[in-house]
Amino acid sequence: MGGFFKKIGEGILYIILLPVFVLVLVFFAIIGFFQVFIQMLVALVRFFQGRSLYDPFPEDIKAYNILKAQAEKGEIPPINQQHQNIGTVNIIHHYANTPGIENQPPVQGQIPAQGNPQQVTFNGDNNDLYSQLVGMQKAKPFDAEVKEESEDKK
Amino acid sequence: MNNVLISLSENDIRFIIVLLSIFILIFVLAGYIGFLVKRIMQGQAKKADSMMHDPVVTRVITNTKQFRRLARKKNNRYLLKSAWIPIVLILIGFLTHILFLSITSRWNYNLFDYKTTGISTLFFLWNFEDPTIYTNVFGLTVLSTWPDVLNTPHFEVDAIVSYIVVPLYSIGGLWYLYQIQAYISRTFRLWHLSKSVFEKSLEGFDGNQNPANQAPLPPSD
Repeated sequence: MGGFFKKIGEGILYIILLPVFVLVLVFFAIIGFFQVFIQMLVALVRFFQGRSLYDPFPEDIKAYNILKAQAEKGEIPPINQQHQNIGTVNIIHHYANTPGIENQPPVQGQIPAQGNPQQVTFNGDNNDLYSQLVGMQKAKPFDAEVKEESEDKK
Repeated sequence: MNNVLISLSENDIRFIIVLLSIFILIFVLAGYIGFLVKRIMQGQAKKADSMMHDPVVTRVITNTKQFRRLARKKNNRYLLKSAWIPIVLILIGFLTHILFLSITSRWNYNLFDYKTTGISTLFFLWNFEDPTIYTNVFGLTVLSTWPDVLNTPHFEVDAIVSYIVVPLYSIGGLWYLYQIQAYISRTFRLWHLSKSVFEKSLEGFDGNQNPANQAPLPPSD
């Protein structure tokens, strides 16, 4: 019964706030239209110049390079192998001082709690864990974009 | 209060109950619709996290100002990627409409007319403007009977432009508004993240439990 009255209260609140929401929506719709229009013109010019429609952002390229460098050092497997499911990598873990994990035994596919750099084997079963650890699924599209960019410069 | 209730007839009381039920139904419905919109916006805002993930975790971005600058650029670019189709639909509709009007010089062509030229020819319409269908109860004007049918669906050759243009406008418009809602969600989420990501909190911190701090803390006063 309490939930029902809460829902009625929320309904009254949403009805009162509806004009504000509509105003915000209209405001953003106008701003968004100009944003899209300007960017579309820029993209069209780039298209007719034979360049890619969007350049990757410098920050993304830097992030990509950092992740790639880590992969080349062997700290994480190379980006392009992320979907091959099999690979053995050395993880130098930085969590040795994390409270609460000291006594947990290392499990395959998890970061070990203590000790020297250890080998962790990633396979098809722990692919999600792998992507959580290195966040590489987000980085992959830029691989192609950066390649395109370097080809453009050539 | 009692006098007012006593003076009400059985029909009046029934009417008040029905009216109250309708209001409650509207409020509950508004509550559920609002809840649904909120959930959709929360889902749309998740894109903001994945946009900024890599530059943040690799420490390419180290402060709120940098975060907001990149977030704004990425959000605008993502809006272009997601909203160009509805905008093109609206533009196609607009061009078709303007071309038709300028070629035929029929500047009074009504897209929503129900007799010959508008999209309303395809829908049932009732005559709600007839004053005889309303009655006055406690100062409120309410429907007392069903209105007459004004139009039954029929096809009109003269309305073909309306059949093309109005769906383009409405689909493009709704689609664009949906993308703008996502844009708003991402904007607020990115604004929140720009503060929270670089925030240092001592909530739940205990100096005695910190293993990095080997030396015991001095006794407190």
